[in-house]
Amino acid sequence: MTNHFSRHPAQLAWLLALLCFGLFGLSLALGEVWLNPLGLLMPAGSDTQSVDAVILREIRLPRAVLAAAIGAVLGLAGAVLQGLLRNPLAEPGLIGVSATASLGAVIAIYSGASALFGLALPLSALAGALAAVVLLQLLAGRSGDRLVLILAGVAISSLAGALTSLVLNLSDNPFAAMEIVFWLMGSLTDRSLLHVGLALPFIVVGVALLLSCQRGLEALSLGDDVAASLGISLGGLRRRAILGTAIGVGAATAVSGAIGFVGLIVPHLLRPLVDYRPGRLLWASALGGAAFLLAADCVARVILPDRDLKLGVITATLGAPFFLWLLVRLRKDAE
Amino acid sequence: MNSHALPGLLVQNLTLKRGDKTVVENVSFTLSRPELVGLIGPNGAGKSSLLKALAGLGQRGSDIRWQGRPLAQMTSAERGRTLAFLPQERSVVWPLRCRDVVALGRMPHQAEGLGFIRPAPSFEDLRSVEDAMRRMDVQAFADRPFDRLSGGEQARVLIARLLAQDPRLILADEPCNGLDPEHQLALMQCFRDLVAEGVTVVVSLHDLTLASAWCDRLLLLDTGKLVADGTPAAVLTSDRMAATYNIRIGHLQSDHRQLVVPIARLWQPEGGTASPADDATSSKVNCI
Repeated sequence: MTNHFSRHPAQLAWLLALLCFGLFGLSLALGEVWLNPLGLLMPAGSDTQSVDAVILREIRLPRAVLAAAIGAVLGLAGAVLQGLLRNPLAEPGLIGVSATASLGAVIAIYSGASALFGLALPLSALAGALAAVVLLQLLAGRSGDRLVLILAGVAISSLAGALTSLVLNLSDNPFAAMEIVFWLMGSLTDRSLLHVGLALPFIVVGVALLLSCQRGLEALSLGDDVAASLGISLGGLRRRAILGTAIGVGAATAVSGAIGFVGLIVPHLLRPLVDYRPGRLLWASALGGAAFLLAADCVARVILPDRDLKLGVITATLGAPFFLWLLVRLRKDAE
Repeated sequence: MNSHALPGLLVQNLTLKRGDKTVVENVSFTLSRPELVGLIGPNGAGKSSLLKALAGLGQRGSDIRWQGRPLAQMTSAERGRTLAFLPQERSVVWPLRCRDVVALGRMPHQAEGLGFIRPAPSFEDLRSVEDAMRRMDVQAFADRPFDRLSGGEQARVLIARLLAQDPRLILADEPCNGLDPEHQLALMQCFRDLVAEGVTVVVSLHDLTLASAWCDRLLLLDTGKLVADGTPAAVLTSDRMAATYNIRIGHLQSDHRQLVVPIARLWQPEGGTASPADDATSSKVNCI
């Protein structure tokens, strides 16, 4: 039952990194016009105002950077939450962060704040994600019980979902409603370097917090009591995981809208390749998530170039059938 | 040696509550030198709660001390290097390879690094893991996933994890559960070897025969109270076994050891059927 990568764990990391790198280049090159991504590396003094250079720098680059960063944090948060909750069905959305971030964004669109001030939307979404953490800590912080945590997350998600529907319901301006619906689908179209500057610092902090859970998650695979007896502080582990998810995924949702399935599928796909070790899965899932979202974003641009296909729609329509196939295969393996 | 100046484990007036219920009441004992200590008592006597507390789980007070220091004052990493705990539940969440499960025992000895990048296992780590797997006879399935093993094989892998931790104090909750007789004996022999190497071992046991054959000392718990503490011969008296377990015991002479064997229940609820040995007038078991 050993695979090639369990004997050469570093090769998996290199392979995934190479895949990310390749897809990043493809994401820069691909679009209505085919561009040479190396144009970004032009020496100073050459024509930086040419149409190609502007497209690369102002349109393609933010999009590729965001796809890589958001994919990485989604995959990583999924892997951390699956390890923390010891549940293979856990994903970043489960603890309510995506739903409250979406609610924050929707309120910003509805109130018109986003039309007046461009950053109102992402900032409001980020505030929503952090509100979810405060609520989670209040609801589940004391007991530390994972079932309470899951149920609190479900409750927060439902409430945020209901309030989002309420906002849509009350929206008398059909254009605002349309904008809300499109935003909820999740997309990376027309994001600028401003969005990158806003989201990236939060995503980096979130990723650092999530990666610091490695040791704790490895120990946790033997149960709470053994993990504690191996010197792991369970409360600290839970706080880092939840805060990291909220900051990272909150910032991701703030600029891209809700993109589902990445956090669920990527850890699943990679788990056998890291011998099911929850600690080693973290790096792999971050790289895998980045590659997955870069690929999905390329697909979104290619299959219906003139219809602005939403990224969240792609990840779900690719993700759900793929997930089913994975389940069928897992069942066959078990028999 | 310096470490012998202070008693290894000192438990003073320990009381544990679960909700309103007192599960361990005013228990005091000292383990001053390496011994194999059996913790015995009927279901619900508080054995598991006591072992958890000794492992420093959920402890805040100073009623448990290791070499003079309250457990609660030790850092969790220090505790991890000092004592190893095997709970009764034997689950591993993911189908990890057995070798990886055993290697988790080395965690308290490994530097934390930055948290993101974990240092590679040291020579010491690898040696301890191999040694623990050899002691528990699990090398044959070192590379197999944990969930493909039988219950008894899984139990042995988890005990190997406990041994790989190289602790000064081992706390094992019913480690013999699910093991075949050969491996039960091998495990008790392994614990004896560790005691000879200077490790204190506390195991909860239901098997009175194993307890009488292998332990230096027995602690008998009944409804949360420590009712007897001493050598197996002193603790496992017929009267006491009748009072705590409601059983009649017999004795079996084997080599130089006197083993205790449960023979029959003393009092049975209405309609209960007599046990096979009930008609025996003597509690003496003929030795083969």
